Order: sequence, then structure tokens, then C-alpha cells
Amino acid sequence: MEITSLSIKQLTAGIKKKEFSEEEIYRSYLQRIKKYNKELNIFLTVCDKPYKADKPSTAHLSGIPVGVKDIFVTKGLRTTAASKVLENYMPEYSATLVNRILENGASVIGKTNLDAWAHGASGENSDFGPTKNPWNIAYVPGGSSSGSAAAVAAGMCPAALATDTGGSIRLPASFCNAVGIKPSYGRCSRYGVIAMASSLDSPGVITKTAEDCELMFHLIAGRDEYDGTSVPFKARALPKKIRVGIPKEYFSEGIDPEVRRKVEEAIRRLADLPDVELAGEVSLPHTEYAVATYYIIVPSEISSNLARYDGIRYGHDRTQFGDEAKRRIMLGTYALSTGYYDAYYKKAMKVRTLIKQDFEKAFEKVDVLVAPVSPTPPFRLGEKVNDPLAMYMCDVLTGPVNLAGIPSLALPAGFTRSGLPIGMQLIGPQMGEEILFTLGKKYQEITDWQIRRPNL
Amino acid sequence: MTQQPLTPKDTKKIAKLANLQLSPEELEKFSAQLSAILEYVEKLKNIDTSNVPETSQVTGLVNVTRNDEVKSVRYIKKGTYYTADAVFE
Repeated sequence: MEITSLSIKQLTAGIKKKEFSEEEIYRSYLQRIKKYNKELNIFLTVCDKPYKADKPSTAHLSGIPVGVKDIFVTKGLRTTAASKVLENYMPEYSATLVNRILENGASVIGKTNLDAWAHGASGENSDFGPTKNPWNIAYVPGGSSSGSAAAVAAGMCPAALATDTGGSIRLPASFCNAVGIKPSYGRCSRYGVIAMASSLDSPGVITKTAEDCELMFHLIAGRDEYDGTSVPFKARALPKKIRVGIPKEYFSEGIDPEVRRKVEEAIRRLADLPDVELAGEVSLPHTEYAVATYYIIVPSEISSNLARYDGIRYGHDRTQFGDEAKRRIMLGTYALSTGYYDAYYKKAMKVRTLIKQDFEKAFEKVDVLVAPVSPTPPFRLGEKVNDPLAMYMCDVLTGPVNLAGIPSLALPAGFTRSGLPIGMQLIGPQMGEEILFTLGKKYQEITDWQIRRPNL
Repeated sequence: MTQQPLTPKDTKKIAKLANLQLSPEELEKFSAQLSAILEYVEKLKNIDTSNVPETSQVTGLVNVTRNDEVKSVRYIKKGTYYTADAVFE
């Protein structure tokens, strides 16, 4: 079997059995990047030599090359946020999550492409050109963690760090047939992640399997003294029987029929599992207001966070911002300005409470909600670039989770007739990641979507 | 309050507040795009939120502080920045 199609668990086992060496693993991935990166535009920076710790404190990820979304700062390794503003920015320190994978023996193989500043759902807002979907290069890989998901799908690394503010881990994972965890807000440190919307930004990881995702998650999660919003968490106890609920608003008429069919099929498979109980429909009545709420709160926080890029402390001046960054900065500036603050920002913060309460009520009855990640399968490059609102609607099923700060695990759920991936998400209560991984692993024991690879 | 579409003049004012310089073509384009988004978010006005508290964070953490200690590992190495003579006595 090809090294580049193996999971982390398989790679680690292979090293132990001396089937291949750590150097051979790195070389295999590097060769694949060299071969396909030009066409797919997945990596912005490639590390010809492994970027790793001199003396890692554990060997949990020894020999594992990891892709890192280029929004995590990496000491001495160019970090751009895929924006021209930072095209030459060289960080003086590394993000906590980068340090955590390095301390566990992993190496960084390169920095992955994204929508500039993580603003986008398709990867097309990158100032360094869009990433192509490895399953069909005429299609988007999803965003904003476009490169991280495409890298895993294309066999350029077995795992990649990513961030999710409104769907940016789950959308590309679902468009590329990968697994991605959007953790509970505060469970993974934001220290060293170039800030987008600070009250929603959730760093996490994209992998090939739920098992790998769980392994990586437990190595990167946990309180960080450098991030005051990281939480000294207590993981939720696993229920004896996992009650699965179906949020009816997530299966409305706006959902593509093929997506709906595949996710409904996945729910039937889940219901057949031992220790899983189908608890029926639940309602999240404020779902239809989530995108509007999200696109007030997020630009508001963006306008504040991106104010620091003035060409004095970091990189180039503000003329180098791309269109989407300009739009979001202006939307936020408007929503926060005198006379409009109450009607927009304050109103959105109140509706955010209602969205959060919808989930709290649902989780009194069920342990996990199952839904599609995206209302549509991957779409064509260029299809939505001139219609920002249409692009924003891609977040309709993912954004509510971020507003509520709860975790969600994206898993492959099948393919369209034309061979494009479809993803589902398992949504859990705050600090309920363990329940999601348990259910995700059980699902992947009885399905094989996760071992399918694109023909490059 | 019904949202009136933004004029290029409105957009110019917002851009100034946001410290962005836009060309006349950009002002036209962004006025139309931002107006469409603002029209969409109008739907929030349909919800009664008179007794609803605001949510600005989800963890419930308050007053997070750290010990006031210097950590040498966080020093930035000399040589990566300019050093200048002290300005204040």
C-alpha cells in the first residue's frame, strides 16, 4: 500500500514494525506535494526539510508530517494568512497548537492555502490563487481551510491543522471526503492563530479517519495559559446509549436532494448501531436567522481585529487587502458605528442567545444532532465569486454551531452521482467531543467512505 | 427602520472610518454588494428580543488573569529587532 494513503494509526504501526522509516514517510509526502501542488495549489510554503522540535517530549506523533493552515504563526516559517498584506511576514514565535504537535514528535511539512484571513467558504478568496478540489479540479475544495482539507484528501499529509469560525474546517472536510473536528470554543488554544472573529474562532484538525482525528484532538486540546479564553474543561461523560436527534430545519427544502438522501441514509446506518438510539426530530427554530446574525457579529469582530494591519507593525499597508477582507471590514465598521450599533451588533448578540438556547434545549433530549455540513455538494470554481451573499449562504448549516460555541465533527457520508464528496456533521453539546468521536468511529467501522481516495 | 441602499457616498464614509482607500469603481461595486447583505440581515428585525440578554462569549469565564512573572522563553532574541538608545532618562 502507498505510504501516502495511510492513516496516522497505520503509519505509526508501520514505523514500529519497521516497514518504513520516518524519513521515507516524509520523502513520500514531499514527493507527492512536488508532483501535484502546482496543479492543485494546496501549499503556500513547503518545508523541504522537516520543521520539527529538537527534543520532542513524547513520540505520539513521531514521524508524522502535518500540514498547517497558513493562519497559525510558525517561528521562522513564513506565515501569510493567504493575504498579500502578510506575504513576507516571518513570525517570532509559534502558535500553541503548532508547539503541541511538535512536542509530540510531529513535523510541519508546509503551510496550507486558505481564503485570505479565513474569510470564505470556497478557498477562492486566497490572494495566492484558489486551491482545486482533488476529486475534480473544476470544483472548489470548500473553505476557508481549503488547503488543509485538500492536502489530506490528496495524500500530501495525513493530518492538517485548521480553524473553523463559521464552517471553515467542516465545509472543506466535507467537500474533500475528509474528517474534521470543530472543537468547542475554548477547548483548543487560539494563541498564535491570526485572529478573525475572536468570540467564535475554533482551531482544530482535519484527518482521514475519525480515529486519527480523536488522537490528534486530544494532543492539541486543553487549557493554555497564553489564551485567556481557553477553558479548563471537563469532558462530558459518555452516555450508555447515544441518543441521536435530527434537527428538522437542517433538512429543509433549500437542501440539495442528493445531499439530503445521503445524510438520511447515514442516519439509518447510525440507527442500526448497537448502543445508538434514534430519538427522532428536534427543532432549532432560530436556524434561519443564523447567517444574518453571523454576518453581523463576525464582520464586527473582523473590523476590530484587522485594524492592526496598517503596514507599520506587520507587512504591507491596507491597500493590499483583497475584496472580501474589505467588504467584511466595512460591514463591521458600519455595524459598530454610532447610530447603527443597537440595530445591528446589539441585536445580533441577542439573537445569538436564542440560537445558543435552541441547542441547549435540543441537548436536553438528545446527545448528538446529525445534519448535512453543506446545503449543496461542492460547486464549480467561479460559480459564486461575484455574489458574496450566495457565498455566505454556504454557512447556513455550520454557522449556528459557532455562534453557540459547541463542537461538531464532519464525516464523509458518500458521493454524488458525479463522484463529488458529501459530508455530514455530528453536533454535540459543549465539551461533548468524546461523544462525537465515539459515534464517528462506530460509523466508520460499518462504512468505507473514508478509505476512498481521489485519482490524481 | 428599513434599510436604504448604501450610496457610493455612504460607502466612502464607511471606508474612511475603516481606514481603507477605495477607487470610484470599488465604491460602486461595494455599495451594491454591501446593500444586498444589509438588506438580507434586516430579517433579524422580525424577532422580538426585548427580554433577551446579549451573548458576546460562550464559555462563561470571567476575570482570567495570569501570574505577573517574566518568562525567559518568551523573550524575542536580540538581533531580530533594531536596538536604539534609551529615549527617556
